[in-house]
Amino acid sequence: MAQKTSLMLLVLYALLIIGLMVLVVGGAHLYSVALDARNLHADQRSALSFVQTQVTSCRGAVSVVEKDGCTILRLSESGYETRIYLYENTLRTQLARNGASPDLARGEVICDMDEFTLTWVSPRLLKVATDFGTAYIRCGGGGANE
Amino acid sequence: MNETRSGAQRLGFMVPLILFVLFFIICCGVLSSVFAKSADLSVRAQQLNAAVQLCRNGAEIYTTCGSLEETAGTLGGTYFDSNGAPADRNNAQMYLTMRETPGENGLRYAVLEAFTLDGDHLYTLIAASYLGE
Repeated sequence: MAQKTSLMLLVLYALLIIGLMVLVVGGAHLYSVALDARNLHADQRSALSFVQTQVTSCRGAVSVVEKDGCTILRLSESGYETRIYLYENTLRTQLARNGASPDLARGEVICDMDEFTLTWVSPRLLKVATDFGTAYIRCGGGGANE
Repeated sequence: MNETRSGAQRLGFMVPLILFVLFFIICCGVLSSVFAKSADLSVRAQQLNAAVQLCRNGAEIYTTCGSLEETAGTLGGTYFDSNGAPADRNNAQMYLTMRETPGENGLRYAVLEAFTLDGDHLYTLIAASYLGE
């Protein structure tokens, strides 16, 4: 009888431990998924919002330039231009004098990215496709490819 | 007499054990529902993120072209998956409604609203476009 009770207790404790382990593993997995999703959303928001805000706030010319196989979004304003481009799988930005030769490696890194495609849907509407999603940006002054 | 004492001892041993197991099961239930809720919140956060981006895209397109049909056409439809990419109705996670309301002094407003397929409201954005008097 005592042996039967001990066995029952052993089974019970085993069940409790398995239950606890399932809960802990499930919780850890869920936390990791939630954290990954949060980081992805933060990257997505920051990358697309950064490009949208930069283009919207630009009062000068907006142009898309191809240089050394790299697509550069150029926002010119009173002697200086902001360049946004993809270089070595990172989205980068750089402030330089108008017309100065771009040194792509020296740009400030915004975030990791694999795709950055710029397309003019219409003369005043720019489509920015990234691996985080697509953004459409209205360019009040219009823009073009160079 | 001995049998009665043995039964009482066993009962005295089993009652706290059963209470403990019951408490453990309740805790597991509560934790599981918290996990399920957090997974649900994570999905909702993703949908909200996509909805904000979709509405913003819609507003940018509308203020450029001034037409809801063209806005929907450029966005790729009105049904989207949880990442905001265009999807057919069967695979969609959310949809976008757009309606125009006339304003004064040549302004026209577009109200862009994103909903889940269950009809839960996700996000609303109002875009104004000047179309001339």
